[in-house]
Amino acid sequence: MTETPPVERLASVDRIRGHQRSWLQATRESAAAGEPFVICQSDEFEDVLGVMGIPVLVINYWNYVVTAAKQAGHFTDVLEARGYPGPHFFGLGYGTSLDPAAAPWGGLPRPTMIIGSTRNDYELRTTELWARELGCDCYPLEFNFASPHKRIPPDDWWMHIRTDWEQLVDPARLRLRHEQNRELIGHLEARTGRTFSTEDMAAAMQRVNQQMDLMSEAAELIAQAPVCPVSFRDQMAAYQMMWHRGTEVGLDLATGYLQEVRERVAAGRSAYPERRLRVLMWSMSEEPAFHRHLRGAHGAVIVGSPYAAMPATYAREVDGDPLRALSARQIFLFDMRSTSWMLHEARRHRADVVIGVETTRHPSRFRAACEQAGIPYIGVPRLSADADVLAGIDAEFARLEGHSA
Amino acid sequence: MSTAVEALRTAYLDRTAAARAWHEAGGVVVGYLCDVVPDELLTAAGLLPFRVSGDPDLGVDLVDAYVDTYRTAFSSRSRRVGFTTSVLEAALRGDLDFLDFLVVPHTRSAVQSIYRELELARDHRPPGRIPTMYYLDKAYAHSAPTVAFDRDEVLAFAEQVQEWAGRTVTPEDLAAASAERNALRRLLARVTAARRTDPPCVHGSDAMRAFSLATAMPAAQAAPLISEWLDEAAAGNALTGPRIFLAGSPQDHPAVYELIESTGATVVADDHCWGDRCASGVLADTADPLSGIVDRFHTTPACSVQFPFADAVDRFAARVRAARCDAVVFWVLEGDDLQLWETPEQIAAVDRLGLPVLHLPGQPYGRLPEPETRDQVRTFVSTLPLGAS
Repeated sequence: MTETPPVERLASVDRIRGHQRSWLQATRESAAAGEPFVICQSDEFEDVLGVMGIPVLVINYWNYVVTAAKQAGHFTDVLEARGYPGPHFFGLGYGTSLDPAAAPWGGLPRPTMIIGSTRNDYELRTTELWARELGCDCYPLEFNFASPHKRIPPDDWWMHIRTDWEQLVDPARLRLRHEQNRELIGHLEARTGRTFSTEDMAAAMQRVNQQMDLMSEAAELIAQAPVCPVSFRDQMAAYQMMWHRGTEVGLDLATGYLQEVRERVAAGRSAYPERRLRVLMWSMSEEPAFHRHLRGAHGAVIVGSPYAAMPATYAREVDGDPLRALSARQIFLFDMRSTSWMLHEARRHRADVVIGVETTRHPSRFRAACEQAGIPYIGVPRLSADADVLAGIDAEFARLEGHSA
Repeated sequence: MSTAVEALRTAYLDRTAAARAWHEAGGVVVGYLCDVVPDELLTAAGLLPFRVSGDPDLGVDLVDAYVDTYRTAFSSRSRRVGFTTSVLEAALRGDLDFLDFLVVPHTRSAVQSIYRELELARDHRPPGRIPTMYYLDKAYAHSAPTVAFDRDEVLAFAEQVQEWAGRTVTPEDLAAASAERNALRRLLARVTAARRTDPPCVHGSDAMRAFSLATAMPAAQAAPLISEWLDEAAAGNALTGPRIFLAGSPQDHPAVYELIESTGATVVADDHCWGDRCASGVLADTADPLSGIVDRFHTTPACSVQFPFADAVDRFAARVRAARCDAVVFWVLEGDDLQLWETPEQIAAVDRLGLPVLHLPGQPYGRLPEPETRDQVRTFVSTLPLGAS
């Protein structure tokens, strides 16, 4: 296989990574010193906690830290030894509290509370068990992302989510979530002495919109540039700005990132020395292990993924109660079932190929949509770089090259 | 074999027969999933409630073609448990075409997902006719907002039911329907009691069939079928052998019960929504059954998603104690991530009661358990002392 040259790394993304590390360390230290700190699932309640000045550790983020440290296997073993058969992802955080000596960063200090997620029914159990292990309270919130299951969004939801969010969500679920958010705020005020301000929430939502606009502009520049200026790995790392969504730090990081992207596009800088084919990776997962093979064997580089489009799904125009707008976002953020969203991103990124994970015997709706649109689509069974996956990829590229010859 | 138990078992072999006949005669049949849907509201409107169960023999061909074609790599982290897949398959095949409507409640995630999955599949014209569906939402936790939320959901459902029936349900209609369903639940409580007698006089597999048939046909048909079987069983031979409590995942068919019974043991109690729990939920005999229906809907856990977890474990332990069993078998289905996270705590509760436990995780949803599993069950039962409880 052809040796793959190294990709160029962005200084602004290294700054984002560095900030994330220092934030985690500082949060650990303040929590260990007795300051309040909360664990919750992503897109659950972080924005409110930020407004109240309470640091939050997002469960998905912590699980990704564990995975990046190549410890998912160990903590899966820890959970299985406790009687919880794997595979595990959501439960990895709980696993780190069962074996803190082996955990990244020496494990987590005891939080003020864990907000019990109900995005999936087992998550409430996991968060309760985790809270018990850490010796803190668990406070359940009802089933975030509930709305699309009940009020099915139109395929073009992504075109309307910023301004017409009220029409896209189930009104009863919105009312419930709004009330529960207010209840939890009252509970936190009583527990921590920190206060919530509607004005501060409105300002935070405005900053979220600003930050998302900056991130979206960067994504648009990346998609439209003649050569891909930012590697997929850096794009995924840059996404960590989301953990500081709506804060001055988040704005600052997004501004720095956009500036560097602009400079690289203006200078015609490419992250990938080899480039022949542009790939849209339509998966919410991490960078696939087979990316190196794509580059080396086929000169194909991943130029984007759904994460390029995600920032736009967080922005909400607020006319009235900002907590209500946030509540609507908590029950409907995005919908991965939309084939028109995928096609829009494929065209925006000028993708030569879309790659998706296909685990069923029948072609997915995504494959069908791409083929109908005349965009080549490759389905892979998983993200690993094992022989079967690579052979399948090679066969698909050979087929595509045969068609284009 | 006695006449009554034969009639029960024969009726169970085609538990859709009564509902199909109702439909063919021009009646409206409303299918529903799980055990939280207020069937009194349906009966009061002159509709036949029919609880949909899975069928392990259906396979997954149409689910693959019409539902999982929307799954993405992210969603693969959420697994689906076998009985929900089979409900999807049945709907896509048209096996539910005798249902005029299908109520999908917000219970566990895989169940409530069925609503959207079938609506999306409908756009692609699967072979079978998918009934018109209704999403009955429900909250998990208990607080003032969730009380109001659940109440509003029941009231909205009641309005919808009247639209389906094309008429207004009067308080008298509802009172009569509640009395009828109460009587049926009290009959099912006799089934539970018959299982618990020492020695028991009914097989757990037949009890499961009775519970299932009670939700598959008009009460006027189900009640005599069940009561005649109970009367005959009470007068018959007692069942000896170890007394087993079946815990773990829901069992919507009797295969696991029959496996345990083949060892000479009797499943005297269970902890799932197709078992003894079917006998619960009797409403107070008041002039306002709707309030009782609303309260029951709010307080009944969706599947077993109950917060706090400690309360769910305590309720489980109380059921085990009440069963006066010799041992507990945990049968956990593959993909049942909810039960996966509950089992260790429940096992610990059983350990504190000093009872032996057999834990069988990752079981396939199927009629015939694997040979190795069957051997594990036989070996486990053979180690149990008789009459230890």
